[in-house]
Amino acid sequence: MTPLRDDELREMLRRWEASPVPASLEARVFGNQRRVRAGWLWGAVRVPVPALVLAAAALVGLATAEVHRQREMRLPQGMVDGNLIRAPGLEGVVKLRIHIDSDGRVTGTTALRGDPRLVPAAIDAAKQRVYRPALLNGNPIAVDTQVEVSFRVDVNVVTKRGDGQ
Amino acid sequence: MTERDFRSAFDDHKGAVYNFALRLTGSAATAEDLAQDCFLLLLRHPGRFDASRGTLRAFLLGVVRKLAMRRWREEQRLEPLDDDPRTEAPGDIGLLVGAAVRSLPPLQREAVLLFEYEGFTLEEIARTVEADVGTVKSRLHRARERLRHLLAPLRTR
Repeated sequence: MTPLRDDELREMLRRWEASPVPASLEARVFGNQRRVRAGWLWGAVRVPVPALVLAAAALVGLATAEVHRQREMRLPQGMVDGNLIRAPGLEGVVKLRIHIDSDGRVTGTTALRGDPRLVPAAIDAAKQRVYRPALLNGNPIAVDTQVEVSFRVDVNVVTKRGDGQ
Repeated sequence: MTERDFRSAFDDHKGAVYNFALRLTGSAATAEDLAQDCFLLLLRHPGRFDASRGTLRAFLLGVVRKLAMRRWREEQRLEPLDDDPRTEAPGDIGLLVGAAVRSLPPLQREAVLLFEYEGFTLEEIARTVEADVGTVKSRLHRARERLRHLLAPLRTR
């Protein structure tokens, strides 16, 4: 097939029109303007740092495992009881879209990316967070945003016990 | 930067910033995140914009580009779970054109977006993407060659 000429290409590219800017963008930017100006919030509603969950599990055959809790998040017990965290290389990041209501509570989650085996724990962790709600004209509003939940095995808190010694 | 200055910058450039992010990433949710971070960066670090080095719009689009690149690097190690429900799905010719542009390698894609949709000169693009003019010209040429072939089947539609 004959490639497009210059004028045809330009005409074709024009067919991809601009999209309207969602009203929520203004709410997100100006809702957090005051806090950014006050110097105590960066990242706005995406809030603090991606949630970090540290999970520590005993190696196979060991009697004890400790779950390290950080940033008010915890890993569901089931994750530790199963083999998931013990599996080598099962560290990773799960990206979620979350809906934060005007009280700062997470009321909706959709998993976007990540290891499917970590998704349930990531959702559980995200729902435990309470965020500072975004403000619009001084009033708290609900927003959708994305967060990442990171998992890693923390070897420092793995305790080797019950090994028959 | 005063509140009025910031409001004015937002009103003047929100469309360009959001649409550049949207065309770059193909995801409405990601574009909104990038646009938000871009404006909040301006609010937090207004001194990073140097009017002697280019326009405010070029500065903001450069910020979006850097934020998008960082995201791509982070997401390369992630496994997609599902289609982003708020991401455009090809349907009409405009969206097919968008899909073709987004299929370009990132450096070629940004060159096309800045040249064709933002009306930047080669020099402005070079400053924004921190490359020399010859490199930008070459990227643009390769991108256009590819698009000529990719979009040729749409000629009669």
